[in-house]
This record gives sequence, C-alpha cells and structure tokens, in this order.
Amino acid sequence: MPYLQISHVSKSFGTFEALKDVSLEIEEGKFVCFLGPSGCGKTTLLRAIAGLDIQTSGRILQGGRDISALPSSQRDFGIVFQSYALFPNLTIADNIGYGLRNSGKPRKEVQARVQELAELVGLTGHERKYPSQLSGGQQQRVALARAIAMAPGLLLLDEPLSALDARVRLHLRSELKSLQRRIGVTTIMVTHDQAEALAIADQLVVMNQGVIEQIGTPQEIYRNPKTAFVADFVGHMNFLRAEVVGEGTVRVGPLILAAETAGLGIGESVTLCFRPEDIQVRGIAAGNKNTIEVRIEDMEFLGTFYRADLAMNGPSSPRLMADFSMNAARDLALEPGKIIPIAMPADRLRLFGEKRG
Amino acid sequence: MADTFAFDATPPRARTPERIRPIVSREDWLLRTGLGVLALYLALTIAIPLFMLLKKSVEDADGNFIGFTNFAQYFADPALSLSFQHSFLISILGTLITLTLAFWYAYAVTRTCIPARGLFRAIALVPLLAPSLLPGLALVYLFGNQGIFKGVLLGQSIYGPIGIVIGEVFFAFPHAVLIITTALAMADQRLYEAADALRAGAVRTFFTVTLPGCRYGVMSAGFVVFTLIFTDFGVPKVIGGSYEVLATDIYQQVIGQFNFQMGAVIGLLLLIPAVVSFFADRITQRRQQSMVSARAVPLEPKPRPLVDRLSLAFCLVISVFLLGVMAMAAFGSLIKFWPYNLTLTLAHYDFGKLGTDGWNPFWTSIKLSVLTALFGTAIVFTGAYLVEKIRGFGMARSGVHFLAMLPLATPGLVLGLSYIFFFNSPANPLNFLYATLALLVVNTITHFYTVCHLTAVTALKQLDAEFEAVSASLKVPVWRTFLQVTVPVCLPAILDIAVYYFVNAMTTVSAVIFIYTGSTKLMAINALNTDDAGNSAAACAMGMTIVLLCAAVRGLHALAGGTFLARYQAWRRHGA
Repeated sequence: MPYLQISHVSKSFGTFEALKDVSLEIEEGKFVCFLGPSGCGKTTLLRAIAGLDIQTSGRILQGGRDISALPSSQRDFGIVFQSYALFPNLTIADNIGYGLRNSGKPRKEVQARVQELAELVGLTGHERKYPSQLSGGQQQRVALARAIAMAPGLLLLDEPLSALDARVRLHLRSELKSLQRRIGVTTIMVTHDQAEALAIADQLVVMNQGVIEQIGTPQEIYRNPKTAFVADFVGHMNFLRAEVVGEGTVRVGPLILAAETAGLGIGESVTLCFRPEDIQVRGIAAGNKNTIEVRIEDMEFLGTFYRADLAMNGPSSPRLMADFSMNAARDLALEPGKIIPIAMPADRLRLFGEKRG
Repeated sequence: MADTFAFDATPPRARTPERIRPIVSREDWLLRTGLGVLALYLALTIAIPLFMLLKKSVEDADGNFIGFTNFAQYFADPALSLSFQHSFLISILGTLITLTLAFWYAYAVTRTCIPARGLFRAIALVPLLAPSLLPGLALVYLFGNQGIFKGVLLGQSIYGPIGIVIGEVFFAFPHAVLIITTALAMADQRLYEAADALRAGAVRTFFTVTLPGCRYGVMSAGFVVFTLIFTDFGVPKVIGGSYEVLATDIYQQVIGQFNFQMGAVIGLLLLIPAVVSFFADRITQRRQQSMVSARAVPLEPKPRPLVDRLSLAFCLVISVFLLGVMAMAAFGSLIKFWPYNLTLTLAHYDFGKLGTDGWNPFWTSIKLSVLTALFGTAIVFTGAYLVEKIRGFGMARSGVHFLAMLPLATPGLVLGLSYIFFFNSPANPLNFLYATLALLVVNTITHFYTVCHLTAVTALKQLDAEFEAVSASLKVPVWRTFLQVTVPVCLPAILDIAVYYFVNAMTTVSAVIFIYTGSTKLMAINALNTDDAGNSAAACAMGMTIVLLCAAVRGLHALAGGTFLARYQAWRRHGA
C-alpha cells in the first residue's frame, strides 16, 4: 500500500482554484519532487499535506490513517521552509532539539540525539552558535536537522535550496539526496528548478495551473513528456507546427518528416517537438531520412557545448535550437553563416495533438 | 500497476465533492477564545463607551431622544460657539508655526552637516517627558505679570491666545519633528545625483526632490499636530485665562455645571478633527510607503557652508527655547517666593506639607504608571499576537484590528467623558470599577492603545511567518513558542511599549481628569489643581517630579538596551 495517498484534492481561495482534483500516491521511502512554475499549486499541495492550509475537498491518507481534516500538530511530518524559520534567539543545539526538549525526554537523551543529528548534517562544533553566525548553507542544514529530529514519517521541503547561491546549491542537493537515502524517510520537495528536480528525485510530479501534468521518473519525464507543457518546462525543446499527412508521416511547411503518429488522425494539426541535443550533425549521408539543410545564424558558447540558432530555409521559416558538442563544432568547423545538413531522428520526434497541448 | 505511482488510479467523480471540515486543535480553540476575549475587552473599553457618548449627545437630561436639539442649542449660544472658533484659530496658528519650525529643525538634523545632530534630536524630544501644563507654568514665569521677559510682549498679555499658542507649539513640537525626521530620513541619494546631473540648482532641487519626497510626512505631521492642539487641555487650562477653548469648555460643562448632554456635544466636536486626520493619515501613510524603493541608496548630506551655519543657528535657538522653558519650570520649583525672594529651596518638593493629599498623588501616579506599563504591555502584545497569528478568521481579526485603531481617533477628554457615561451608569454591571484605580489603568491603557498596538504588530511582522508551522510539526504547543521565541525576539519592542505606557500614564491629564476621585488623584492633576489654587511653585515642583521620573525611566530603558540586551540576548549582537 502506498505510504501517502492523495485523492481528488481540490483547494480554492475565494474564486481562484489553486488545486483541481489532484490525485497522487507515494510509496514509502521515495524522494519525490513537485515541479512546476510559480502559481502551479505545488506549494499549496505541500501545505495541504502538512495541514497548514487544509484542502477544500478530497482525502489525504498517510500510512493508512486519514489525516484530511487534522490540524498540523496532529500529523506526522517534519518541514523545512525556504526561509528556514530558525529561531534566532536559540542556539543551534536548542534549535535542533526544540521538539525533543518539549516532548519531555530526559536531558541526557536529548543532548545525545542533538549531537547525533549535528553530526549527521555535518555541523559538529557549531552547536553553541546562533543562526545568524552561520552561512546560508549551514542554516539550511540546521533546519533539516530540526525537521528530522523527531524521526517523522514524512519530510516536507518547500524550496529549501532556492535561497542559496549556485555553488552551495549544487553541493547541498547531493548531500540532501544522500542523507535521505541513509535515513530512508519519505520526502517531498517543492521546487521550480527543473535541473534540481531531475538531479535529486526518484519521482517527479510536474504540475501546472492546479493540475498534475505528468508523474514519472526523471528519465521518463525527460524522454517521454506526455504533454507539450511538460516538454517545454523540463529541459529545452523545439516546437514546430505540423500536420499528419499519413501513417508515420508529418508535414512541416514544405517538409515531409517521418515520426510516430500512433493515436493521431490523418489531417490532424499537431505540434512537433524535439530536444536541441537530439539534432545530429555528424555522419549524415545525403538521402537519409529526416535530413534537411539549415543555415547557422548564430552560435552561443555555453561552456561545454554550443547552442546554435538554425534557420531552415527562407527568412520567415521557423528557427531551430540545436546543441553541438565542442568536438563536433571543431571537427566540422561550424560557424555562423555556414550551411550544413542536419538530421532529426524519427524516434526522437514527439507529436502532440492540438487538444492536448 | 507496476508503477509505484498511480496517476488517475481512481476514476474521476461526477458529483460535487464533499467539503473537508478541518478539525480545530485545542490550541487553536485557545487562540480563538483569546481573540474573542480581546474583542470583548476592546468593545467594553472603547467601542461601547464611545457609543454612549453619541447616545448622550442626542438625549435630554432625562434620557429622552431629542435629535440634534443639543447641537442647535450649542451653536445658538454665542459664548459656546465662540470657544469653537477659538479652538479652531489656535489650532491653525499653532499647527502652521509648529510645522514650519519642526520642518527646518528636522531638515537640519537629517540633511545638513551640522555638529551634534544626535544631541539636537534628543533635545527636540524633551517636551515629551512633561505634562502639557508644565510649559504653561513656565510661560507664566517667563512672560506673566511678574515674568522675566514681560516687556517682550509689548503690553500684550501672555494669558490668552499668545500663551496658548506658544505652549502648544512647545507641546506639539517633538511629535512633528519625529514624523518629519522619519520622512526626511527616507531619501534616495540617486535622485539627488540625477538632479545634479541635470544641472538643477539647490533651490530647484529642494522644491522638486526634497519637498515632494517628504510631503506626506509633513501632511501627516500637520494632522497629528492639529489634533493634539485642538484637543489639548493642560496648556489652555493653565495659561488660557478667560480665553475659552473647547477643551476647557467641556471641562466646565461637565465638572462645573454637570451638563453632561452639552459635554457630549462638545466631545463630538472634539472628535471631528481627530477622525478626519485619522483617515487622512491612513491615506497619506499608504502613499508614503510606496515612495522609496527597497533598493534606494541612503542619502549622505554634503557640507554646504551657508545652509549649515544657518541651520546650526536655528537649532541652537530652538534648543535654547525648549531647554529654557524646562529650565524655567525647574527654576520656578526651586525658588522660595517668586519674584520677591529668589533664594533656592527644596521646600516645594516636600509634598507632605501640602494640603490634605500630601504624597498620595505621587504614589498614585507611580502605581498607575507601573500597572499601566505591566498590564498594558501584556494586553497589547498578546492581542497583537492573536490578530497577527491566528489563521483564517479574517472577519474577526480585522474587526479587532479596527477596534485597536479607534483610540488613536479618540481625544483623551472624549475618552474620559465616555467613561463617565458608561462606567458611572448604575445599570452597568461594571459600575463597581468606577472611582477605582483599576478604571484609571484601563482608561490609560485604552487611551494609548493604538500606537502600542502598531509597534507590536510591526515587530511581529518582522518574525518569520512559519515559526508556528514549524512548532506544530515538532508538536510544541503554540504558547511555548510564544514564550520561548516570540517574546524574547520581540523584547526591544515590548520594552518600547512599556516605557511609552509608563511615560504617558505619568504625563496624561486629559482622559483621567473626568474619572479620578479623591483617593485616585494623580500628580499631574494635582499640579493642575495646585496651580489653580495659586501655588504655581508647588505645581512646577510636581511637574518637574514627573519630568525627572520619566527621564529616569527613559534613561533606564536606554541602559537596558545597552547592557541587558547585550548580556542576555547575545544572539542580537551578530545581526541577522
């Protein structure tokens, strides 16, 4: 049985519907990310799970217990907020042990547990300092240690990394992941950063405008986006308007391409999507399927690769984004102004009917 | 399904979903009950008394409804409506003078390079330590019939409009300086750099950048000062002579002639400018906030020899005036018999030898101030916490917030009068409070509630909004977090509120003048009566005792900020 079951949860603030009939199941011990743009409902869903803003309708079951209507204090979770909400007048040790001390455990036992937690998050030696004496990353660890101190069944993280600068963020997200593995607590993290979500999660829940767009592993979501929204939000994507002209064939302007058309009717208008890194430039023989000639308009150097702006043909034709490795760019002497053949492998092209996207 | 996730595992339902009714935890019930108690308290101490005042103004002496007859009668009486004109004239004149002086003074201490700006700021606040009757007394010593500088008035009498205006300017000056200083302190250096780059001259820059930048602050100060002067009782009582104003009128109608209906009418007239300025101030403050962006570069004043020298001279003159008035009052209290025997003596401070009250008013004032500071701070801070932290319950919270704002629009005299109507009514079960010190405490807490409430709300808004959520997740009851985190973190604001309450309870006259009795006479009131009886030296001594007590408390507070907070709240030193 799944550890957390969310069924038909809706939440409205006045006339605004923040969540629309959301259902979701989460297995014990998983690291799940709620991903979506701001205002998509991901934080609302998290706060409903925590009981901070209880949903208008729908049920939430945790470990088989119906917690739908319970106040936060009667639920079983630990939480880290974006602001961390550390108590500024308490030492690090007192912050971490805040819940333990109030639970009436013996002093010795509390101290030992605080020590253990400080060690777990790598803050040994800082116990007697105050939050304002620590860096942002260290404060984040204190908040994390405090959240797991009472050994909750569920760990909720509300954009825990977004207040940090880029380098610290990269470092902390891998630490967060390994910590979660070690203690095995079921974890939900809310984020708007797709790279972070892809890197850290066992399962992604992509949300938009109060509904779940897709649920799956990071690989599934990246390779097989179910909707144009997911395709656009996770990673980069080229979008072209196309029409299905036959079984396995679409037309983009004057161009005929091979693509998987299962489930789509002939004559239907569709959106054709493919990722910039799926465009091939090496080993293209004339007459290959899905090969076209393009002109390189511009190349942007992004450190480990080039992102090129390609014009298909004619000044008003659609532009394409393509990622070329440093090797390919050097070997083929790619530069703006050059006309080159490219291939778009049929198995990497995705079609979305108009009604879905 | 092999997938660990089941999206759309359950079929969508057709009928309208069942609403979740959140279970309210015990501590939420506690908080809500607290809010209810607070609402009831504020209703009993401000809303209902004010309503009784309204009701009284449209009734005859027997309690029958007579519409606006009382008002018609008031304006038909030339003596009464004359004092309305007087009040208006005095307030307009006093406001214009105060604003002009306060603006230049505030400009000098924020925007010029004169030395000792901190000291000048502190001097401007000195009048706050004194009851408003003290400048009146000092002015009598300075310009009265036997005054030192009597000749300066060219034969005009200080008893009347001249004295009232000077006294009110002294009394209102610190309030205006505080507000305008705040407005001038929020300036963006970049605007001045832009004006410079566009080659605007000093005068043009002043009128196109400086003035527009603080105009809401000046307007706000204008409203506050007008209301203060319009409703002040101490100055006209001491130095007004036969020049009647509304504040002295209301006192005579109620205390002298027991004409409660006419008192209620005058009370409502006093309420008008306060209510108007209350709403005008709300609007201007809202605009002021949006004027300076968070990214503004703070202004660093540059030396301008002429402006700096003129400003310094001006500040010196004003400081001499402010300190001179205080010094005169102090001197008056130490002189054996003005102006015939100028030997110094402490005899006037020996209150034990004075009349039947002796030291009682001194101790009553101290009791009132301490009790007001203790209970007032506890009620205001807890109340502000409830208003800020309860989730949902929007209507109840904004209702309580509105009640908390009401005292700001209620002049002390009006509040005191409403208390007579409400608490002295034999039908009121709370009647037993009448003539007790407890009622004076309640009255004083209410009188100064709004400023304290806003201070507490501001402090609470600076706390992380999720402390309570974190506590709930850690199973820590909400009151523990209140005591272990919220109160210690807000301690500076709490001390500010306590000191504000103490000082105001010490100096106030207007609200309590209607509800004190023989056994609850306060020192400021005693000073007023003593002066009425012709012993102005003893009145000065009482006034100065209040000044010294207030200064001592303020001094202790400053000291506490330095040492106590540093020692017991080490976390503050590291900044956030």
